[in-house]
Amino acid sequence: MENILEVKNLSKKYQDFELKNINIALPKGMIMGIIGENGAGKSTTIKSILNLIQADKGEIKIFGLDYQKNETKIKEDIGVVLDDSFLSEYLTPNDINKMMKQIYKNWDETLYFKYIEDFHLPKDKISKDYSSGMKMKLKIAVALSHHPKLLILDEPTSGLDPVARNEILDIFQDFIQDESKGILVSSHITSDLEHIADYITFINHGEIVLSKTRDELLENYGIVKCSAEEFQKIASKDYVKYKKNRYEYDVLVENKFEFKKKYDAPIVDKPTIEEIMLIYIKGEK
Amino acid sequence: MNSIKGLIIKDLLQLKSYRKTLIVFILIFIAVSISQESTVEIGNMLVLMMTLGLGMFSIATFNYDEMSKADRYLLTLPLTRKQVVRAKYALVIGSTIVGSLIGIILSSIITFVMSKNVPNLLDLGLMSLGGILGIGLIESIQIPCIYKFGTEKGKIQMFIVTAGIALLAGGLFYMGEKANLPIGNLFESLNQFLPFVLIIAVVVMYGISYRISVGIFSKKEI
Amino acid sequence: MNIIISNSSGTPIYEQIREQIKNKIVSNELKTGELLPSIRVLAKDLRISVITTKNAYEELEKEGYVQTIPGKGTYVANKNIELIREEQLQKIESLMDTAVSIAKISQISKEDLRNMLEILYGEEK
Repeated sequence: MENILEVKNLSKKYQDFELKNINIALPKGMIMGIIGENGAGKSTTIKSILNLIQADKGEIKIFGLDYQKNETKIKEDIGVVLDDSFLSEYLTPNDINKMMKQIYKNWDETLYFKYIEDFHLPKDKISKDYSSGMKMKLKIAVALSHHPKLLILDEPTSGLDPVARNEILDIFQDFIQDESKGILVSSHITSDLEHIADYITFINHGEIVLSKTRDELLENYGIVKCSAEEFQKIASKDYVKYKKNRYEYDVLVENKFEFKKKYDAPIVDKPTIEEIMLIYIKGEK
Repeated sequence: MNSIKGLIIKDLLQLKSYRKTLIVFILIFIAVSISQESTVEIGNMLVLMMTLGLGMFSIATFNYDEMSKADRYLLTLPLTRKQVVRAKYALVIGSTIVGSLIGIILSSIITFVMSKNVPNLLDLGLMSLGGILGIGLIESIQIPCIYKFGTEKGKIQMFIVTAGIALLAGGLFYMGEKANLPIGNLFESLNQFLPFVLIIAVVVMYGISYRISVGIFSKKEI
Repeated sequence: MNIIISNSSGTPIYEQIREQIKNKIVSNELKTGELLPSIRVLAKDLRISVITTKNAYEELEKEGYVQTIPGKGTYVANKNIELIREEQLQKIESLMDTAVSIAKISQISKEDLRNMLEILYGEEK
């Protein structure tokens, strides 16, 4: 399968933070979710991919092209939503249309206004007076209206109520109906990604701790709940990390089926992505 | 070219909410100018104020951009960093020139209405060139400072740089006087070429400023 | 077509889809030659990953229940009815075998077992 986005050994060092050896491969037709705590490196990774910050080392290819040599060509075909940055709030959807018509070769006015209408956004009101959900929908409408092939979305569901989140997840799944497209989406709301993401990449302290298909993660990983004595019997190679709670141990295992075969496991729960994330961050080995 | 047009459209539409303020501002200028005694002063005043006003007005778009961190978003569009800077300079220089043209037109009308004299367009033109030079100097220092330090901190840096240049120029002038160099004569003899000297000075100034801004913005981590 | 996914059940989601589609084929709710929703449409409708639906379809294809024609879609395969029946009978036999052995251990009579079957079969219908 051809990759629509490829990141190899991306590194970037700051005074107080370092992004180490990030590798990402997003096949066409797929949605990849990047999860991690705030400050874990999700935004830095996305900013590097968009060439907003200069990586210290690494190779990035989008649509099979070098991201720096073909920057504007690539950006014609990318739709971007950034959490904390957009056009001025003193512009109306109409104004934005006038501007974007000049900027994107493929800007589709009809499609844009269809989104604006579907999202119930007032065309001639400046977005300053919009609710946070409406502002996000405006960003998404703009990101989708030039027929992009790749969507790069930084926290696109933050600040949205459950109904709006649901609508937006629907739009992303509609978008991916075309197998030649792809979505890279970061979120700290893991339940959003749990449903729609095909691949989950988990970044912690600037490093990728795991990157797997959603199914591998949710169907194979397990959380063993056991007592201290039972925990002593588990060989260290058979679990990923454990977290000691007041009454029991939560032990994260990579393959719950093999674990069950090997140990007379008492309780093995199906984990949520959030639980996996928590044990990774808070747990010990 | 279209991309730059798009960016300028964005900035102009952004300022739309300022339209009323702008009209009030022009009316006040006219009122202040009319209160002056001689029509020559009215003309000069208006030209300078309009040039300064519109120039500064366009600089305000930097504040809008900063508020919504627009630079970061703009660079996710198919735009180069150079284009983003170039569009800003086009906007600022354009509004400064338009401002001085409006000033010339307004003051001509007022002169004509008040004194029935035909305005001296050459004088007004020279005045506006001088105005553009002065205001252009401020802008040329201000824009790179904004790119480097942001609009808030940029203001302080700008005053430091402007004060520095003023002191330097004053110092040189003073030293020249002391050393009995014929500086006064130099200005005298330049007088007949004044329009050309001013035009060249304005172009060089903006050119250097643009280069510096592109240099800063290209390396900026957004 | 109804497919009901439970996130809390221990069964993997692709397994749930596979089971349910299989049941619909066996019960003839899905008829031979019928076009199934594409993996992408199904993923969207069920709000799950494409990889999950793809897995389910691949499994079904391996077992011969469906057939994928590249560029066209996935169809209910022309499956040997006898074979399906055979499979189902085998399944029933093994379950009944369990039932009988439990009955024998607990000394439950053949009569009681038959009555139970009678009631269950009647109710199920």
